[in-house]
Amino acid sequence: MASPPSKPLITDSGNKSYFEKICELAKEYLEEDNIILNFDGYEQTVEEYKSLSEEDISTAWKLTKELNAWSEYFSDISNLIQKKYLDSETEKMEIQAIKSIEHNEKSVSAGDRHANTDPIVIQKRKKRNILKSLYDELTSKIKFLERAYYHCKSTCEWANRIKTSYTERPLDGDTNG
Amino acid sequence: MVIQMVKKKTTSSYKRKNENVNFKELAKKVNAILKRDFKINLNFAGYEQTIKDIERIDETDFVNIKELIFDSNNWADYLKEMQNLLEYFKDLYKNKYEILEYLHELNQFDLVHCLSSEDCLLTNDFKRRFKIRGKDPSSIDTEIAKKLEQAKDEYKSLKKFTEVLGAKSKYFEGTFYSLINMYKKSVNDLFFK
Repeated sequence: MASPPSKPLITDSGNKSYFEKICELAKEYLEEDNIILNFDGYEQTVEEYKSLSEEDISTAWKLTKELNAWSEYFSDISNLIQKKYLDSETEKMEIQAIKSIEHNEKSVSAGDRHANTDPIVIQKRKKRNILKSLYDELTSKIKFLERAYYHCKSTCEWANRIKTSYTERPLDGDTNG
Repeated sequence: MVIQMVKKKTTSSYKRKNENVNFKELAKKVNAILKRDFKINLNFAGYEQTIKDIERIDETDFVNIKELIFDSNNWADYLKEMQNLLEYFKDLYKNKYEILEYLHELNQFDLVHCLSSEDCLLTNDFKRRFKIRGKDPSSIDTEIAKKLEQAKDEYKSLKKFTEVLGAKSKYFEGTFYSLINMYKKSVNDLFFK
Protein backbone atom coordinates (compact mmCIF):
# COMPACT_ATOMS: atom_id res chain seq x y z
CA MET A 1 0.00 0.00 0.00
CA ALA A 2 1.32 3.42 -0.86
CA SER A 3 -0.20 6.84 -0.55
CA PRO A 4 0.92 9.62 -2.92
CA PRO A 5 3.63 12.00 -1.69
CA SER A 6 2.12 14.84 0.33
CA LYS A 7 4.70 17.49 -0.69
CA PRO A 8 6.15 16.38 -4.04
CA LEU A 9 7.46 19.72 -5.32
CA ILE A 10 11.01 20.58 -4.35
CA THR A 11 11.43 24.37 -4.36
CA ASP A 12 13.89 26.88 -2.89
CA SER A 13 11.33 27.85 -0.25
CA GLY A 14 10.74 24.26 0.88
CA ASN A 15 8.65 21.35 -0.33
CA LYS A 16 5.13 22.04 -1.61
CA SER A 17 2.09 20.25 -2.90
CA TYR A 18 0.87 20.89 -6.46
CA PHE A 19 -2.20 22.56 -4.97
CA GLU A 20 -0.01 24.98 -3.03
CA LYS A 21 1.91 25.77 -6.22
CA ILE A 22 -1.34 26.60 -8.06
CA CYS A 23 -2.37 28.89 -5.18
CA GLU A 24 1.05 30.55 -5.24
CA LEU A 25 0.86 31.22 -8.99
CA ALA A 26 -2.67 32.62 -8.67
CA LYS A 27 -1.81 34.79 -5.65
CA GLU A 28 -0.61 37.87 -7.57
CA TYR A 29 -3.80 38.01 -9.67
CA LEU A 30 -6.09 37.50 -6.69
CA GLU A 31 -4.34 40.18 -4.66
CA GLU A 32 -5.37 42.70 -7.34
CA ASP A 33 -8.91 42.25 -6.00
CA ASN A 34 -7.81 41.92 -2.36
CA ILE A 35 -8.64 38.22 -2.29
CA ILE A 36 -6.49 36.23 0.10
CA LEU A 37 -6.80 32.45 0.12
CA ASN A 38 -6.76 30.87 3.55
CA PHE A 39 -6.66 27.09 3.96
CA ASP A 40 -5.43 26.93 7.55
CA GLY A 41 -6.40 23.63 9.10
CA TYR A 42 -7.19 21.87 5.83
CA GLU A 43 -3.96 19.88 5.77
CA GLN A 44 -4.54 18.75 9.35
CA THR A 45 -8.05 17.48 8.52
CA VAL A 46 -6.75 15.58 5.48
CA GLU A 47 -3.91 14.04 7.54
CA GLU A 48 -6.44 12.98 10.16
CA TYR A 49 -8.57 11.40 7.45
CA LYS A 50 -5.56 9.55 5.99
CA SER A 51 -4.73 8.02 9.38
CA LEU A 52 -8.32 7.15 10.31
CA SER A 53 -8.78 3.69 11.78
CA GLU A 54 -12.03 1.83 11.13
CA GLU A 55 -12.66 1.15 14.83
CA ASP A 56 -12.37 4.81 15.76
CA ILE A 57 -16.01 5.81 15.34
CA SER A 58 -15.74 9.08 17.25
CA THR A 59 -12.94 10.39 14.96
CA ALA A 60 -14.83 9.19 11.87
CA TRP A 61 -17.94 11.04 13.08
CA LYS A 62 -15.93 14.18 13.85
CA LEU A 63 -14.34 13.96 10.39
CA THR A 64 -17.70 13.69 8.60
CA LYS A 65 -18.63 17.06 10.05
CA GLU A 66 -15.24 18.63 9.31
CA LEU A 67 -15.02 17.30 5.76
CA ASN A 68 -18.53 18.48 5.02
CA ALA A 69 -17.70 21.95 6.37
CA TRP A 70 -14.52 22.06 4.25
CA SER A 71 -16.49 21.02 1.18
CA GLU A 72 -18.86 23.92 1.74
CA TYR A 73 -15.93 26.31 2.30
CA PHE A 74 -14.24 25.18 -0.94
CA SER A 75 -17.54 25.64 -2.80
CA ASP A 76 -17.71 29.23 -1.58
CA ILE A 77 -14.18 30.00 -2.77
CA SER A 78 -14.68 28.10 -6.00
CA ASN A 79 -17.70 30.24 -6.91
CA LEU A 80 -15.76 33.42 -6.26
CA ILE A 81 -12.81 32.18 -8.32
CA GLN A 82 -15.15 31.13 -11.11
CA LYS A 83 -16.34 34.71 -11.36
CA LYS A 84 -12.77 35.99 -11.52
CA TYR A 85 -11.89 33.35 -14.10
CA LEU A 86 -14.85 34.23 -16.35
CA ASP A 87 -14.03 37.94 -16.03
CA SER A 88 -10.43 37.27 -17.01
CA GLU A 89 -11.62 35.23 -19.99
CA THR A 90 -13.72 38.18 -21.20
CA GLU A 91 -10.81 40.56 -20.60
CA LYS A 92 -8.47 38.34 -22.60
CA MET A 93 -10.90 38.02 -25.51
CA GLU A 94 -11.41 41.78 -25.57
CA ILE A 95 -7.70 42.59 -25.65
CA GLN A 96 -7.03 39.84 -28.18
CA ALA A 97 -9.75 41.16 -30.49
CA ILE A 98 -8.45 44.74 -30.24
CA LYS A 99 -4.88 43.67 -31.00
CA SER A 100 -6.07 41.48 -33.83
CA ILE A 101 -8.00 44.33 -35.49
CA GLU A 102 -5.11 46.74 -34.93
CA HIS A 103 -2.79 44.47 -36.84
CA ASN A 104 -5.01 43.21 -39.62
CA GLU A 105 -8.54 44.38 -40.25
CA LYS A 106 -9.20 42.10 -43.21
CA SER A 107 -7.89 38.70 -42.16
CA VAL A 108 -9.05 37.42 -38.76
CA SER A 109 -6.58 34.52 -38.63
CA ALA A 110 -3.61 36.72 -39.55
CA GLY A 111 -4.71 39.27 -36.94
CA ASP A 112 -5.14 36.54 -34.30
CA ARG A 113 -1.72 35.10 -35.02
CA HIS A 114 -0.17 38.49 -34.45
CA ALA A 115 -2.29 39.08 -31.33
CA ASN A 116 -0.95 35.84 -29.83
CA THR A 117 2.53 37.33 -29.83
CA ASP A 118 1.52 40.52 -28.03
CA PRO A 119 2.90 40.76 -24.45
CA ILE A 120 -0.39 42.17 -23.08
CA VAL A 121 -2.39 39.32 -24.62
CA ILE A 122 0.13 36.81 -23.25
CA GLN A 123 -0.21 38.33 -19.78
CA LYS A 124 -4.02 38.20 -19.91
CA ARG A 125 -3.86 34.66 -21.17
CA LYS A 126 -1.62 33.63 -18.27
CA LYS A 127 -4.03 35.20 -15.81
CA ARG A 128 -7.00 33.40 -17.39
CA ASN A 129 -5.14 30.08 -17.38
CA ILE A 130 -4.02 30.11 -13.77
CA LEU A 131 -7.48 31.17 -12.59
CA LYS A 132 -8.98 28.35 -14.63
CA SER A 133 -6.50 25.88 -13.12
CA LEU A 134 -7.34 27.12 -9.63
CA TYR A 135 -11.06 26.90 -10.29
CA ASP A 136 -10.73 23.34 -11.68
CA GLU A 137 -8.55 22.39 -8.74
CA LEU A 138 -11.05 23.72 -6.20
CA THR A 139 -13.82 21.79 -7.97
CA SER A 140 -11.81 18.57 -7.79
CA LYS A 141 -11.01 19.24 -4.12
CA ILE A 142 -14.76 19.47 -3.45
CA LYS A 143 -15.19 16.07 -5.12
CA PHE A 144 -12.33 14.63 -3.04
CA LEU A 145 -13.90 15.98 0.16
CA GLU A 146 -17.27 14.55 -0.81
CA ARG A 147 -15.71 11.12 -1.36
CA ALA A 148 -13.86 11.35 1.94
CA TYR A 149 -17.10 12.37 3.67
CA TYR A 150 -18.92 9.40 2.16
CA HIS A 151 -16.08 7.11 3.26
CA CYS A 152 -16.15 8.38 6.87
CA LYS A 153 -19.93 8.18 6.98
CA SER A 154 -19.80 4.57 5.69
CA THR A 155 -17.11 3.75 8.29
CA CYS A 156 -19.45 4.96 11.05
CA GLU A 157 -22.35 2.97 9.61
CA TRP A 158 -20.33 -0.26 9.30
CA ALA A 159 -18.88 0.05 12.78
CA ASN A 160 -22.31 0.78 14.29
CA ARG A 161 -23.91 -2.12 12.42
CA ILE A 162 -21.26 -4.56 13.58
CA LYS A 163 -21.52 -3.25 17.15
CA THR A 164 -25.33 -3.57 17.12
CA SER A 165 -25.18 -7.08 15.66
CA TYR A 166 -22.96 -8.18 18.58
CA THR A 167 -25.25 -6.71 21.22
CA GLU A 168 -28.34 -8.19 19.56
CA ARG A 169 -26.83 -11.69 19.23
CA PRO A 170 -28.26 -14.13 21.84
CA LEU A 171 -25.95 -15.31 24.60
CA ASP A 172 -24.63 -18.91 24.48
CA GLY A 173 -27.12 -21.30 25.99
CA ASP A 174 -29.89 -18.71 26.05
CA THR A 175 -32.51 -20.57 24.01
CA ASN A 176 -35.20 -17.93 24.57
CA GLY A 177 -33.06 -15.30 22.86
CA MET B 1 -10.86 -8.75 -49.21
CA VAL B 2 -12.88 -8.27 -46.05
CA ILE B 3 -10.33 -10.22 -44.03
CA GLN B 4 -7.50 -8.10 -45.41
CA MET B 5 -9.31 -4.90 -44.42
CA VAL B 6 -9.94 -6.16 -40.91
CA LYS B 7 -6.29 -7.18 -40.55
CA LYS B 8 -5.14 -3.75 -41.70
CA LYS B 9 -7.38 -2.03 -39.17
CA THR B 10 -6.14 -4.19 -36.31
CA THR B 11 -2.50 -3.49 -37.14
CA SER B 12 -2.96 0.28 -37.37
CA SER B 13 -5.02 0.48 -34.17
CA TYR B 14 -2.39 -1.59 -32.38
CA LYS B 15 0.30 0.78 -33.57
CA ARG B 16 -1.66 3.80 -32.43
CA LYS B 17 -2.33 2.23 -29.05
CA ASN B 18 1.32 1.36 -28.62
CA GLU B 19 2.36 4.93 -29.35
CA ASN B 20 -0.02 6.44 -26.82
CA VAL B 21 0.10 4.04 -23.95
CA ASN B 22 3.69 4.40 -22.74
CA PHE B 23 2.87 6.44 -19.65
CA LYS B 24 6.25 6.03 -18.00
CA GLU B 25 8.17 7.35 -21.03
CA LEU B 26 5.77 10.24 -21.41
CA ALA B 27 6.09 11.13 -17.72
CA LYS B 28 9.89 11.12 -17.98
CA LYS B 29 9.77 13.35 -21.06
CA VAL B 30 7.35 15.86 -19.50
CA ASN B 31 9.34 15.83 -16.25
CA ALA B 32 12.53 16.72 -18.16
CA ILE B 33 10.78 19.57 -20.03
CA LEU B 34 9.25 21.09 -16.89
CA LYS B 35 12.40 20.67 -14.84
CA ARG B 36 14.45 22.44 -17.52
CA ASP B 37 12.06 25.39 -17.93
CA PHE B 38 10.24 25.82 -14.60
CA LYS B 39 12.03 23.64 -12.02
CA ILE B 40 8.86 21.60 -11.62
CA ASN B 41 9.34 17.93 -10.80
CA LEU B 42 6.80 15.15 -11.16
CA ASN B 43 6.69 12.56 -8.42
CA PHE B 44 5.00 9.17 -8.80
CA ALA B 45 6.51 7.44 -5.78
CA GLY B 46 4.22 4.58 -4.76
CA TYR B 47 2.05 4.71 -7.90
CA GLU B 48 3.11 1.36 -9.38
CA GLN B 49 2.82 -0.33 -6.00
CA THR B 50 -0.76 0.92 -5.60
CA ILE B 51 -1.71 -0.30 -9.08
CA LYS B 52 -0.24 -3.74 -8.31
CA ASP B 53 -2.11 -3.86 -4.99
CA ILE B 54 -5.40 -2.99 -6.71
CA GLU B 55 -4.85 -5.71 -9.31
CA ARG B 56 -4.14 -8.33 -6.66
CA ILE B 57 -6.86 -7.42 -4.19
CA ASP B 58 -8.80 -10.22 -2.58
CA GLU B 59 -12.32 -9.54 -1.32
CA THR B 60 -11.73 -11.30 1.98
CA ASP B 61 -8.65 -9.20 2.73
CA PHE B 62 -10.33 -6.50 4.86
CA VAL B 63 -7.14 -4.76 5.96
CA ASN B 64 -5.85 -4.25 2.41
CA ILE B 65 -9.23 -3.19 1.03
CA LYS B 66 -9.50 -0.58 3.76
CA GLU B 67 -6.00 0.75 3.00
CA LEU B 68 -6.67 0.80 -0.72
CA ILE B 69 -9.89 2.80 -0.25
CA PHE B 70 -7.79 5.58 1.33
CA ASP B 71 -5.04 5.27 -1.26
CA SER B 72 -7.31 5.34 -4.29
CA ASN B 73 -9.09 8.44 -3.01
CA ASN B 74 -5.78 10.16 -2.31
CA TRP B 75 -4.30 9.17 -5.69
CA ALA B 76 -7.40 10.43 -7.51
CA ASP B 77 -6.96 13.79 -5.78
CA TYR B 78 -3.18 13.88 -6.27
CA LEU B 79 -3.30 13.14 -10.01
CA LYS B 80 -6.01 15.75 -10.49
CA GLU B 81 -3.84 18.32 -8.66
CA MET B 82 -0.97 17.49 -10.99
CA GLN B 83 -3.21 17.68 -14.04
CA ASN B 84 -4.57 21.10 -13.09
CA LEU B 85 -1.09 22.52 -12.53
CA LEU B 86 0.15 21.12 -15.84
CA GLU B 87 -2.86 22.57 -17.69
CA TYR B 88 -1.45 26.00 -16.87
CA PHE B 89 2.01 25.15 -18.20
CA LYS B 90 0.51 23.42 -21.24
CA ASP B 91 -0.90 26.70 -22.50
CA LEU B 92 2.46 28.42 -22.08
CA TYR B 93 3.95 25.82 -24.43
CA LYS B 94 1.06 26.31 -26.83
CA ASN B 95 1.76 30.02 -26.82
CA LYS B 96 5.46 29.42 -27.44
CA TYR B 97 4.60 27.23 -30.39
CA GLU B 98 2.16 29.84 -31.76
CA ILE B 99 4.78 32.61 -31.54
CA LEU B 100 7.37 30.48 -33.30
CA GLU B 101 4.84 29.60 -35.97
CA TYR B 102 4.16 33.29 -36.46
CA LEU B 103 7.88 34.01 -36.74
CA HIS B 104 8.28 31.12 -39.13
CA GLU B 105 5.54 32.48 -41.36
CA LEU B 106 7.18 35.90 -41.28
CA ASN B 107 10.36 34.22 -42.37
CA GLN B 108 8.64 32.50 -45.21
CA PHE B 109 6.92 35.59 -46.60
CA ASP B 110 8.55 38.71 -45.42
CA LEU B 111 11.68 38.11 -43.46
CA VAL B 112 13.76 40.86 -45.01
CA HIS B 113 10.96 43.35 -44.52
CA CYS B 114 10.47 42.22 -40.96
CA LEU B 115 14.12 42.61 -40.09
CA SER B 116 14.30 46.14 -41.46
CA SER B 117 10.83 47.59 -40.75
CA GLU B 118 9.25 48.77 -37.50
CA ASP B 119 8.33 45.14 -36.70
CA CYS B 120 12.06 44.60 -36.26
CA LEU B 121 11.93 45.55 -32.58
CA LEU B 122 9.32 42.88 -31.92
CA THR B 123 11.23 40.26 -33.83
CA ASN B 124 14.49 41.10 -32.07
CA ASP B 125 12.75 40.66 -28.75
CA PHE B 126 11.53 37.21 -29.76
CA LYS B 127 14.92 36.35 -31.21
CA ARG B 128 16.45 37.03 -27.81
CA ARG B 129 13.69 35.16 -26.01
CA PHE B 130 13.96 32.05 -28.13
CA LYS B 131 17.77 32.28 -28.36
CA ILE B 132 17.86 32.51 -32.16
CA ARG B 133 21.51 33.03 -33.06
CA GLY B 134 21.36 33.14 -36.88
CA LYS B 135 22.19 36.40 -38.65
CA ASP B 136 21.07 35.97 -42.26
CA PRO B 137 17.45 35.20 -43.27
CA SER B 138 18.04 31.60 -44.38
CA SER B 139 19.87 30.51 -41.21
CA ILE B 140 17.22 32.25 -39.04
CA ASP B 141 14.55 30.43 -41.03
CA THR B 142 16.21 27.02 -40.49
CA GLU B 143 16.73 27.72 -36.80
CA ILE B 144 13.12 28.82 -36.27
CA ALA B 145 11.81 25.78 -38.17
CA LYS B 146 13.84 23.51 -35.88
CA LYS B 147 12.68 25.27 -32.73
CA LEU B 148 9.10 25.24 -34.00
CA GLU B 149 9.22 21.49 -34.44
CA GLN B 150 10.60 21.04 -30.93
CA ALA B 151 8.00 23.39 -29.41
CA LYS B 152 5.22 21.52 -31.22
CA ASP B 153 6.51 18.22 -29.93
CA GLU B 154 6.76 19.55 -26.35
CA TYR B 155 3.24 20.98 -26.46
CA LYS B 156 1.87 17.70 -27.82
CA SER B 157 3.62 15.73 -25.06
CA LEU B 158 2.15 17.96 -22.37
CA LYS B 159 -1.30 17.81 -23.93
CA LYS B 160 -1.19 14.02 -24.12
CA PHE B 161 0.17 13.73 -20.59
CA THR B 162 -2.49 15.96 -19.01
CA GLU B 163 -5.19 13.90 -20.74
CA VAL B 164 -3.67 10.68 -19.42
CA LEU B 165 -3.51 12.16 -15.90
CA GLY B 166 -7.21 12.99 -16.09
CA ALA B 167 -8.03 9.45 -17.19
CA LYS B 168 -5.89 7.96 -14.42
CA SER B 169 -7.54 10.14 -11.82
CA LYS B 170 -10.94 8.91 -13.02
CA TYR B 171 -9.68 5.33 -12.79
CA PHE B 172 -8.78 5.83 -9.11
CA GLU B 173 -12.11 7.52 -8.48
CA GLY B 174 -13.91 4.49 -9.93
CA THR B 175 -11.68 2.13 -7.95
CA PHE B 176 -12.55 4.02 -4.75
CA TYR B 177 -16.28 3.38 -5.20
CA SER B 178 -15.77 -0.26 -6.28
CA LEU B 179 -13.62 -0.93 -3.23
CA ILE B 180 -16.18 0.67 -0.90
CA ASN B 181 -18.84 -1.61 -2.39
CA MET B 182 -16.55 -4.62 -2.11
CA TYR B 183 -15.85 -3.82 1.55
CA LYS B 184 -19.55 -3.33 2.26
CA LYS B 185 -20.39 -6.66 0.65
CA SER B 186 -17.60 -8.52 2.46
CA VAL B 187 -18.64 -7.08 5.86
CA ASN B 188 -22.23 -8.04 5.08
CA ASP B 189 -21.26 -11.61 4.11
CA LEU B 190 -19.08 -12.05 7.15
CA PHE B 191 -21.31 -10.62 9.86
CA PHE B 192 -24.89 -10.79 8.65
CA LYS B 193 -25.24 -14.02 6.67
